[in-house]
Amino acid sequence: MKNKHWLIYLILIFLSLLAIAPFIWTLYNSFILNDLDMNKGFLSLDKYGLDNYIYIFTRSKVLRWTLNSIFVTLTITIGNLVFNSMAGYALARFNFKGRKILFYYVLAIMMVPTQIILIPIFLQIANLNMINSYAGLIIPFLINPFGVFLMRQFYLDFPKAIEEAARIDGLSNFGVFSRIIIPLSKGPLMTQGILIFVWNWNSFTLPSIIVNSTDKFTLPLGIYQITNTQYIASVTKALSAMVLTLLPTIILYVLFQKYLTSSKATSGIK
Amino acid sequence: MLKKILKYLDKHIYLVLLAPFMILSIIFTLIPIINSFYISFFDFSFLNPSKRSFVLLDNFKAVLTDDVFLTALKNTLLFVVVFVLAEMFLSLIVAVLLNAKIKYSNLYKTLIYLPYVVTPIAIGGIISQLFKKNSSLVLFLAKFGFENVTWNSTAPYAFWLVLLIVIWTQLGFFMVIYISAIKEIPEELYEAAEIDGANSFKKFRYITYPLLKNTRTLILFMCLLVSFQLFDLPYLISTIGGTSPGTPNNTTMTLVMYIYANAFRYNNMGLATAASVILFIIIFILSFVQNKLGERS
Repeated sequence: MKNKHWLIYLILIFLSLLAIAPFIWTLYNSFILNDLDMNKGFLSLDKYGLDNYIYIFTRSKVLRWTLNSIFVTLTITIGNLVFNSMAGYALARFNFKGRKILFYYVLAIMMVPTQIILIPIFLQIANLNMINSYAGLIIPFLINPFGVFLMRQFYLDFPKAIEEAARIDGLSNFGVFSRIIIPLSKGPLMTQGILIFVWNWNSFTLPSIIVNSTDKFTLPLGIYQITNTQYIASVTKALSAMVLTLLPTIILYVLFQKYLTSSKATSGIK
Repeated sequence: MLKKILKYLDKHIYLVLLAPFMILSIIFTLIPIINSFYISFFDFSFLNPSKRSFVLLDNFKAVLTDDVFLTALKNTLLFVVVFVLAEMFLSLIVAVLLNAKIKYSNLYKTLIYLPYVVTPIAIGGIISQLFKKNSSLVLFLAKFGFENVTWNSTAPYAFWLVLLIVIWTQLGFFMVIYISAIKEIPEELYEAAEIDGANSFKKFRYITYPLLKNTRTLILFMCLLVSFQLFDLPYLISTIGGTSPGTPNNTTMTLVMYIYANAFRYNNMGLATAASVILFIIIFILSFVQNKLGERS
């Protein structure tokens, strides 16, 4: 029994290291000042520094792209939290004609990956004159059927008695939703919020066809351009740009990982 | 008047609650879905979308005789098969190991999930540096018989590298779904088995594995969907450094990459729209089968 545990530890530690080693390698190399010093083991201390970061902040539009990404992703996340909860609550609580069909509609569009409707989505955004604008980067992504589905599952199990008590105390339907329901939905709102934030922060495919001027770029588009055009010829400088892109989602994840990896959080996915 | 409207809306509050979702999903999902079939019968260009001509099935004829499309289809199918098998096996094994009574299992789980949240462009950039000719990693791998080459621009290394990276990034996501399903299995079953003298393997073989059947079906279809619509990572890994999508020689070209490249790089709208419809039909059949299986269980 003891021996077997030893083997389990070995496998799990190996997989854990495999999962983070590339990022530690990247972080380490982003502090190396000269490309030629890569792959050489430990160097004398004067060969490390923050110059790569200073360089990409001052010589590229990374600061602008970071601000764009923060603005776009936060707006999308807030929109999703509000709109998806609203729709999820309506589907779980109110008996109206067509409720079942609407739920199937949510499931159906959840099954259709945006990847296969890239061209008509692009045409639609172009029709609405939103190409190359913040509106184009934000508005199409303000809702997500997965979020609606998640919230509906949560509200189906939500005790009705709380809402009824609030109604007896004289709250309107709107009051019940905004003052009772939303504050009590912290768990699924966090799960949904983090996933939506991560997906949109990382998003490349659609943004890459929606905007084309570098001023409107989000961070992934900017970093892609940097690596793709050899605009920055230095590897370690490019790696410092990678660090800037991946750091926010990793920090968010480490702080709130229980909302993504706990059994409670994933039961909604099933 | 305003008061009346407000009162009506409060009474029918579901209309207000559903409105934003319905409006946005109709504009940006439902209409594009319908439109994707319609436009596949036309020849047009982004440069002048209003000028288009009806060509019936010419786009489909063109795409089905295009060698690059057939290569993309073949790559995607190989990708799907290996990815689904590997991911279903690995995520189950890791979930079972994490569920054993071990110290720090939460730490391992957190770390193994981490690649899933990292930006694909960063992963692409990092991987292309790690697997460059003469890098420490490639020189180390050379000791085991691999060539000292830049992996993402050499066939067949590029394809397998992309596959490996995608398996690696998605492992944590499927793993946590398995873990939460395993946690729902009643403890008494294992206790009873222990009294009967069952060892760990037997407990897995006769309790855990059969009881995870529904979860396995769910993960199978999620894996199928993920691998059929694969785009970001192979595109980023193959084009980093300014090379064309599918480098080297279309060996990493996937179906979605084919659609994206033809539409937004080469302006071959006909090929792209027809390929989209074909992929749509594949995904539709998969979802349909999943629903049928889901109803049965």
